[in-house]
Amino acid sequence: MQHNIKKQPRAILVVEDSPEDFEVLERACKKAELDMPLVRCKSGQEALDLLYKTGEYEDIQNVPTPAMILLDLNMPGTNGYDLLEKIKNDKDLKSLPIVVLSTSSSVEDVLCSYRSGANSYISKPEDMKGYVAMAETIKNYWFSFCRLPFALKEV
Amino acid sequence: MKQKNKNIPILVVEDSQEDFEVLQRAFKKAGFEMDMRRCKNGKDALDYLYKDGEYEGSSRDEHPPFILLDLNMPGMDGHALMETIKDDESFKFIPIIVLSTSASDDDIFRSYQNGASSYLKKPDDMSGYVKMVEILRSYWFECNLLPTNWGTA
Repeated sequence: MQHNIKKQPRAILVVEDSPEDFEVLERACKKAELDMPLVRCKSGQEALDLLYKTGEYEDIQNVPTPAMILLDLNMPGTNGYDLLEKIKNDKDLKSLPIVVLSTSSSVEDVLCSYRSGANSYISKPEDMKGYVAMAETIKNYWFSFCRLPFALKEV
Repeated sequence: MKQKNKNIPILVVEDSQEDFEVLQRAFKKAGFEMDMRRCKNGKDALDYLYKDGEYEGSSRDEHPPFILLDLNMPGMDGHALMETIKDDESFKFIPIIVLSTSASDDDIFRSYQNGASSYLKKPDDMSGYVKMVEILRSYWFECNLLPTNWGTA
């Protein structure tokens, strides 16, 4: 177990292929005063590159350590499920909380996500008001009340 | 986003009778009516889930939508119970929220590693408990979608 982690800047990793959806989320987090930088990856593969420091992230210094992941399900290439399975089957990464954030609210997607190891599942709000309320709830729960793991392997 | 089927009890795994009663009172004070089934330790919880032992022959056919789990219990503790549940395809989708007196980095890390959805430290007093129930409700039962029979209304 790795406990010698320097308390470096942490961030929320947002895996989201849609630039519009990411912008809405970013604005909502700002309005909700969620004081945590958002780092966007446009695909599952990019998220893996960031987490494993491979590909375009190989030589980048100071990649922030994610405190959690907000994960879209439907993306081209490595989709949300693939990414969930990969992270939750890797003992160096599996403690990282993953909250699915998807347009789908189907019982199958919810069940499948939990089965693949998602920590939580939120269906995307329909408007800005809903997004701000969601960002506030996430802030109050994950970043104020709940205890997050501080022992992630340094990336 | 209101969830229905509130009659399926959530599972609370807690060896302390007092702590369980405090939790029940806090739910009541917060105005959150939720059926709860208490199991006294890990083994009791497994019997409940597998309808084994004293639960044999139970006609219940739903899984609990949510588990609140104490860590330190005699016999099978919370960590061991989590490992067993998260290793079983038929139960691994149930979100487990740890609720423990411990705030040690080690317990927190091990819990997430074993598949806990989230980790809460037990509040120190009743007002802390009521606040916790309110936050639990607004996150897990209003913002978040739970699996199984818990569709959106």
